[in-house]
Amino acid sequence: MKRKIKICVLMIMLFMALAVGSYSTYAFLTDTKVITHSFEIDKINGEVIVTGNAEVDSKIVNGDLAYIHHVDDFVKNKYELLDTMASQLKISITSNNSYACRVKVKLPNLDELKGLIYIVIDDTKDTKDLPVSLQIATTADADGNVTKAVLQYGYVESDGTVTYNDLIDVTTLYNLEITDANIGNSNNTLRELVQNYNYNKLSTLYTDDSNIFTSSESMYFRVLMWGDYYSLTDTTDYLTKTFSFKVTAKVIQAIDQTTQGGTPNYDED
Amino acid sequence: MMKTNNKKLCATLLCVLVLVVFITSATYAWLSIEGSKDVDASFGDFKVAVDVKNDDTNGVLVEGLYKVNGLSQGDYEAIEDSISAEGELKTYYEDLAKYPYIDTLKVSVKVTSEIAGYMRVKILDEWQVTRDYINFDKVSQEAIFRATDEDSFMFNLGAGWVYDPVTKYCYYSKLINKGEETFSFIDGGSFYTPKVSSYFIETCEVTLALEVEVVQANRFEALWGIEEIPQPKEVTGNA
Repeated sequence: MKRKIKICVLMIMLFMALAVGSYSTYAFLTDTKVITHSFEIDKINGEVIVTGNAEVDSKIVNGDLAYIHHVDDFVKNKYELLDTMASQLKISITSNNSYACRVKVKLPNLDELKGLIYIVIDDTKDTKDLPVSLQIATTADADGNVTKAVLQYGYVESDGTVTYNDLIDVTTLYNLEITDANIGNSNNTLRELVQNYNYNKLSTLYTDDSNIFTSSESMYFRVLMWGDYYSLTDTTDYLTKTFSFKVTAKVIQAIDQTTQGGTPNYDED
Repeated sequence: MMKTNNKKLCATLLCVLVLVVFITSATYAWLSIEGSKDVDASFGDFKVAVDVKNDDTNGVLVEGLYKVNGLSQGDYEAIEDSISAEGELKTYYEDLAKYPYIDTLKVSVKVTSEIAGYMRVKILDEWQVTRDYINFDKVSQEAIFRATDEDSFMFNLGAGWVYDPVTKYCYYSKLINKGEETFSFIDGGSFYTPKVSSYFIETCEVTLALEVEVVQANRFEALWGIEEIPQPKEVTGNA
């Protein structure tokens, strides 16, 4: 009799565990508040604010994209207009928790955005309202050959000064003789460079311990985006194309990884 | 006895396992949270409006006053974005004190831009002088032309505009930023002074058309075929 009671109790507990586990998993997977600025579920809460040109029906609308030439503009910045031509998204994430949290930000992969190219750059509370400046810094040898070309960014201070930081090494593309025949190949190379850079940037934002923040602290970053004509698979009506760009942020209690003895993993957490 | 203990141990382990699953699942649900925001990104364009007016209230100086709103896309391959607006201006020799009326002509261009761009305008003008011989019931007409493009340019261009005799366009020398801005393009001018004598009276009739082109800033070289936007010449003083 006792055995039967034990089996019954075990069965009930198993069902309860499965039910709660399933529900928890379901909640975790689907409690994504789309088109909301702040979220709070259970004991983790935070705020994600994305600002663009305009907001229509709770959706950010950036209507100022412009096509750029990936070599003249992106790699060589020939007209020094790469920053001017950029459409910008400013993203800030604030944790309202008393305990340490990490933030995992997911942005669309460039493979899903044929016709669009973007880069992620750091921002801070002090720089978030400043204009961003991009430049190509080159190093040349004695014969004048460019041995290194790096895309750099900085913020234009009120006195006009800019301190630049390295973004992407574009040396290989800088020295390529681009013709109409091989422009497609060089474009793929550029997109690969940019995709790798973005992935590393977002991954570092999540895994680097220096980015752990607690209550009332915020994380800022900026997304600069341009039209990329050469990656379009269909150039029909290229001027009226619209891209859907989803910004997803996941706040994860940092202590979780510590207590479980694991390390944060951008792809798997 | 041993068998009973094993069963108890198994049952306890199973309970602990179930409990761990339960706690882990429940805890994990509030250890992370996710939010997202949708963004729609589309391409910017330009809107151009040309306004022609004459600020002289005493004379009827402008016929065919026009105001045109045109749409101009952030073009990439071809100049499809130029707008052409035509109007007719007539200067009448009616009042010697007000002569010449072209002095009071004002043309402005309003650009509403979602992306940075450059602008140029082509002036397509025709000048015709009609001479009315008072006592002879005779009228003659003659088309007149500028001697050279550069020296005899007949309209005073607003600040920031540069006429390029090679391409025959007037370029706005500065970058047009996002937003709405009105640029003074023509502010009066002079070219031909109608003559009056006891034998005849001249009337100069000007037909003016403007062609405005705005291009996204990084494409001016590809579309306009110039390496740089013409800049005003620096004025150097005498030593």
